[in-house]
Amino acid sequence: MKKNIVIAVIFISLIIGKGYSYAEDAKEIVDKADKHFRGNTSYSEMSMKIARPDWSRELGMKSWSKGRELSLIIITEPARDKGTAFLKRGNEVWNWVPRVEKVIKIPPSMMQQSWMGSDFTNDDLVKESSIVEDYSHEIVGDSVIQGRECYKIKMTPKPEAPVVWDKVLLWVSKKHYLQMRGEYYNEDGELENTMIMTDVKTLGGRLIPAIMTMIPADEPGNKTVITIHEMQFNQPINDSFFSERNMKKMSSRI
Amino acid sequence: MIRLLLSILISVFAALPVYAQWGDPYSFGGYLRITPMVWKPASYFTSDENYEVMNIILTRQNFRWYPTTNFTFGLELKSRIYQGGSIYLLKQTANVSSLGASYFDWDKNWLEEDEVLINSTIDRAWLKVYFGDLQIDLGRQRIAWGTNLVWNPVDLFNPSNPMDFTNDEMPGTDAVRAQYYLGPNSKIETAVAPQKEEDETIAAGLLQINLWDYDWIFLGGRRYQETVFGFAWAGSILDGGFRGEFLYSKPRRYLNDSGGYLVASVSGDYTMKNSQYFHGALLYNERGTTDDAGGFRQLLAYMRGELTPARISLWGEIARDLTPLLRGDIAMIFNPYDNSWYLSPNFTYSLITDLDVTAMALIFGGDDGTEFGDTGNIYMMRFKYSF
Repeated sequence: MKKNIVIAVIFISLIIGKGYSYAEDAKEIVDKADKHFRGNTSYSEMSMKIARPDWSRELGMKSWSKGRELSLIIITEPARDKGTAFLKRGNEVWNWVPRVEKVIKIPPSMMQQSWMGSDFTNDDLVKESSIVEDYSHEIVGDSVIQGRECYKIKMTPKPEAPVVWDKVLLWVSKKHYLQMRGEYYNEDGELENTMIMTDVKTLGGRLIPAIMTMIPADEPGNKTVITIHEMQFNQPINDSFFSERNMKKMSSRI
Repeated sequence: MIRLLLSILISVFAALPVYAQWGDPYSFGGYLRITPMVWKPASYFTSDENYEVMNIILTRQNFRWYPTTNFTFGLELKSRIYQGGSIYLLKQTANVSSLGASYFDWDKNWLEEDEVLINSTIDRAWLKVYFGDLQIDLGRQRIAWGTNLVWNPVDLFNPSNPMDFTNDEMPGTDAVRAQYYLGPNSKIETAVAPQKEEDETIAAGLLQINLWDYDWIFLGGRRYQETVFGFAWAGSILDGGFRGEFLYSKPRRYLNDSGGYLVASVSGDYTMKNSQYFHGALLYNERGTTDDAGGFRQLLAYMRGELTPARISLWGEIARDLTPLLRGDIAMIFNPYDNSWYLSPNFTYSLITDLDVTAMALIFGGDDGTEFGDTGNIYMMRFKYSF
């Protein structure tokens, strides 16, 4: 009996211990995946294609970021929106509107909007929320995605986090910490969006998926595809690059 | 006439491939816009059931040249063909919005006939020079001071009119402007816009700082024959935008008995996740009238460069993406003293990439002599191709 209790205690402590270390590992894995994709600084040229059953539109952009606090995005096409820019510093976001030649300070509610019904919000583009800091993480399994062994990680938003999801499932490859798939569940616990990462190749000296496809669950035939055409990591960028002055200057040189 | 029209359009489009081949350090863009419209004048102007059919064809070409990292040169040309019975009235109306008078006359009428007017304007021609944290802008430019999205009392140099439907861009001014950046979103700035009459020169400076997640602007200077002081802010409350501008003006020379007066505007907006947008604004003009604000009072407001003849104006706007390609927007201005109003519903549909079509109406309501009672209604379609 006593032996059984000892075994049970050891077993339970193993489970608890293992559970605890899993939780630590999960956050570490997501952190590594996040850092791998962002670097300390990054520059990218991307296009975003919104595909619907009977039409499609494409948006081109250049993007610079430094850590999670600083980012600058300039729209390069279509001509209608060319030169429109977003500057993010910490919690604040400014929008340069070339047509009226004015900097508009954007309230948080406006960041929930999407461009022409894309499955990404402005918030997704300037990465307001952090997949590391705004969620608690737990490894819930393993899977093979596109031939890569992946951790399946459940991410639950922290109470104060600026996140609209009830939970997110993220698949991260064990070898290179590549985010290979994401599933986004709404407040009713239903799957709302699935993100699929493909075309893994070396860009900016790193192995990353060059194509991200967001597919809404309840709208067949709809998808938004982001393609990364060029990427650079860890090039030195001064903090002052992320300024109102530079936003306007870069916008006029696109 | 048609030949002339065609030759202008062909010359614009024929030139496009040439510009498209330009690599750095040049860029070229612009748009072609065609706006057929029907104007139903108010009974004030005519006793008949009279409709005016008009059309504006507008091309805009924007050039940029940036030979080094320290220089950018910009040139923006606007050419318009007005067609219809009341085109001169229309052009005059359009120019009302350009309150900031330009020092140089870069406006040319190529053809002036009874029902056709062809006009070109150099709308912008500026040189920007960057020396470290200092930026100097020289030439015809837009100096957009203010934080509000509709009424900008502190926009001393080229205030715009929210009812201007003829111009996509805001008016510019001939000026010299220096901005010294103290931080990413902080700067001191000074600008001078000479006027034909020396004592009407606009000269002002501002300090912009970013504190407590708000942008704050403090400014002072002279505009026409007034000394002005003001401040503005932009921030958010409960995730919605919260902006405001206050400007105190004191006439310097004439009308010694007239004291200073305040013009202020406060606004808020909020966007829901489903794209539903709400926007409200209030404009207060201490010098404005609480009587009927039409007729002579309106003319006086225009001559004084006021944003409104009324003591108080209210703005309400709701907008929404009805489908990803169709956006609906309804805006309204209301004068609570003379109970006149302006309502502008518009629906913009993206036909193909870079080609938008907008159905729009400008509906004015109120008794004769009120701010919005004498205008009549305008209905229009707008086709805009950006390149």
